[in-house]
Amino acid sequence: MSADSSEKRKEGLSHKEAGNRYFKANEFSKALKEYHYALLHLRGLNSDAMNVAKPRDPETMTEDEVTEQDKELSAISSNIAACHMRLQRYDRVVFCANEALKTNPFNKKAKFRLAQGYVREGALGKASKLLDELEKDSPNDQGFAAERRNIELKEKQAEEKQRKEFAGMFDRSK
Amino acid sequence: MSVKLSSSDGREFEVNMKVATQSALIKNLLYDLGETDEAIPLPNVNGNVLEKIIEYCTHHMDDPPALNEEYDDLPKRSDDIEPWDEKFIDVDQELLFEILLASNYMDIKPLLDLGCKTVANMIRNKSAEEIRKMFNIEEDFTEEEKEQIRRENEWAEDR
Amino acid sequence: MLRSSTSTLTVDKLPAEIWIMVFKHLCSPQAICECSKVCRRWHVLASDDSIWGALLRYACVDNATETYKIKERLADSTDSSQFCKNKAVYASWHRRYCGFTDSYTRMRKAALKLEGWASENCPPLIQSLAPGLGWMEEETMPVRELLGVISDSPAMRDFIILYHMHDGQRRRQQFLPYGLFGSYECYGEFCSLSWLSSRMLQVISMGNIRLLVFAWCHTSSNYLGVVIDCPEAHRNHILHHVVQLQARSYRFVDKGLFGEFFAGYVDELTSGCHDVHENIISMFPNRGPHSSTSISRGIRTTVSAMFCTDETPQFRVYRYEVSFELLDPELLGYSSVQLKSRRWLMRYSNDEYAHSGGAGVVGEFPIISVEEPYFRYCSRLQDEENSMIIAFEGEITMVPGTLDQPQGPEFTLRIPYVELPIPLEII
Repeated sequence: MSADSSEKRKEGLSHKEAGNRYFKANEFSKALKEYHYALLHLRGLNSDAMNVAKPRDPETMTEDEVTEQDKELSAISSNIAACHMRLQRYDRVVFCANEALKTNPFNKKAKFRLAQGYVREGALGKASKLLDELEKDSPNDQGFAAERRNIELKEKQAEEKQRKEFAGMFDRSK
Repeated sequence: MSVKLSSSDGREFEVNMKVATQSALIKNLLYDLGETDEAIPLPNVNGNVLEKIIEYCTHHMDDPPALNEEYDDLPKRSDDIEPWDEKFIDVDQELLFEILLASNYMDIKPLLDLGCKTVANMIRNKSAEEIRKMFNIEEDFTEEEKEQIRRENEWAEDR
Repeated sequence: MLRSSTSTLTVDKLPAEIWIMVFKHLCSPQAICECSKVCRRWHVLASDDSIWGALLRYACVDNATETYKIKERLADSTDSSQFCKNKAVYASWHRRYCGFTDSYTRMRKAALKLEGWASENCPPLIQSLAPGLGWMEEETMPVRELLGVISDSPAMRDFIILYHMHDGQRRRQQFLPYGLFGSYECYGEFCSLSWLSSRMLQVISMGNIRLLVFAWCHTSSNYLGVVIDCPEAHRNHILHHVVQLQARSYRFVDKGLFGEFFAGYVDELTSGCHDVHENIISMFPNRGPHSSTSISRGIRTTVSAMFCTDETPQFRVYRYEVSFELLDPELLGYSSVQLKSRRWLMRYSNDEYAHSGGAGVVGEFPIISVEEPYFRYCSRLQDEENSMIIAFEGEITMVPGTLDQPQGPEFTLRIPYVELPIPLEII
């Protein structure tokens, strides 16, 4: 089994690297394809099928209980979400970031992408909560601060809109 | 609308889109990459297993989407396998396990559930010894471990 | 013993996550424990916290007080199997409630549902629910008394364990308006059927039937009890059933085995079968075989009938409640309407009919309006001298505006046919 799996692993990783190259070159559609192909090769490769697995309760699992393989798969899903950010497909950002977090709940990049997706999809409450968690660990991160400002801006916009609507109402009742 | 899938041993299958997208893995890929003439490689699925998977997905092509059950919850019943599914999954152990692996890899929840239910039904109401015989598992406990485990699980026998 | 190498590989081919899914499909603690006896790998996998966490949730034990106590005890121990906490919790729970685990799950589900519903819809009710009795190992008199009275059947285990969840309703004064099992007001008499605490449980005899009364209304001698003793011939039909009994006439309404009755009643409450106004639960269900409802002119009229457990032994007496609710003032076309008169058609067992009617209802002429869209009243009806009443229907005449100043032509609201809950009889 090992010979076969290490071949697949190699192939999968090379797709991932190709994806990274395309991403840096701003060719996001091509990067997407490479990342998906990476997943096709890396999923289902079980490194520890022969070993006795340590039980994991999703609620109390700690970061070091996440397998290397899951971390890898999660990173790829997170990169897919990043592609969608650049392609402005925000619903896909949310979906793919969530997939990444299912595989590795500690993937910070994926959490951030998810927050970004939520902001652009209008789910400001959810985005805010995620940013709270992220900022706890890294309070000085520029990226997080930028998203915060985005949220505040959107909230102000929403308030303005509501105010205008209500103003209209009161005028009518006179 | 059709799409090509290619198995680990190089066999190519052309299938209806509705059949292929029952696999969440393929569905997501097609969603992001759009239509393609290229065959989608499935390096972790053997040709004869893929054939079985396609058979299942073809039969269930027009099924309504399943309700989104809570991820961690217990399945409600194990005795509600429909006759076609029962016949479909009546295969030798090796193929059954391959189907399980493949449906996990391709992320086809109903087939994964069917496989798990089937294996669970094989295990239920059997003693540990009978289970070992069935799957050809070697007992690797020491006498002390065996006794400790027996005591650990004594409570389950009382009703 | 020779083993085929391919076969062993087969089982080991499946990763841990799939085996865990398979074990979850077993759904049975006994089967999963048997799996942990198969080999070392299965021992670890079958003890996985996610499996036993799901089982705990399924059994409704996951966040019970017992679970916290057990988890505390485990935290102190130096057991090496710390990573299988959920299994240890489950085992501890199973040992503690041995024989009562099914009842525990059933009654806990009902109690949780009730608490959830009551917090939102009837806060005084939830405040009145007393904390439960201790369990067997603790020296609590009432539990032992309960055990002394009750036999060992699933229905009675449900009963005992329900009192472990809540010891009835606390009553500061004799009369509690927020009776769990409902209230009604009829001709000035207010009845509220509250759930008795273990100290108030009473056994009463009725011919060759003995009942353990667990719900009582002081003002109207309405009560619910569990049949704990009856003649051999009736054992299959009513033993351990909840009945609503009329003391002097040996008539009763069978409400089913205790556990089913209680869980069913909670389901009724949570699905809105009983109207709640100002924290008072109506004893009359607003749907079911002994009620009917119709909507016309934007007004919903509902009638619900119930067998009465007081009154004379000669006749069967029933109470019924009629309610009007203004749902759609625009459809009605007027801002208010006033009730003018009523007319009833009663049907008897010998296929005869009788009319009755008159001005107003229970001496009132209620006005239904946008400000006061809801009105209900309760009245009674009974058998005739020689025949049994089995159903009735009627009409209510309404006048737009008021009777003094009508604003339009009068119209009628139909009260559709409703069948009465005819009691069974002890012979």
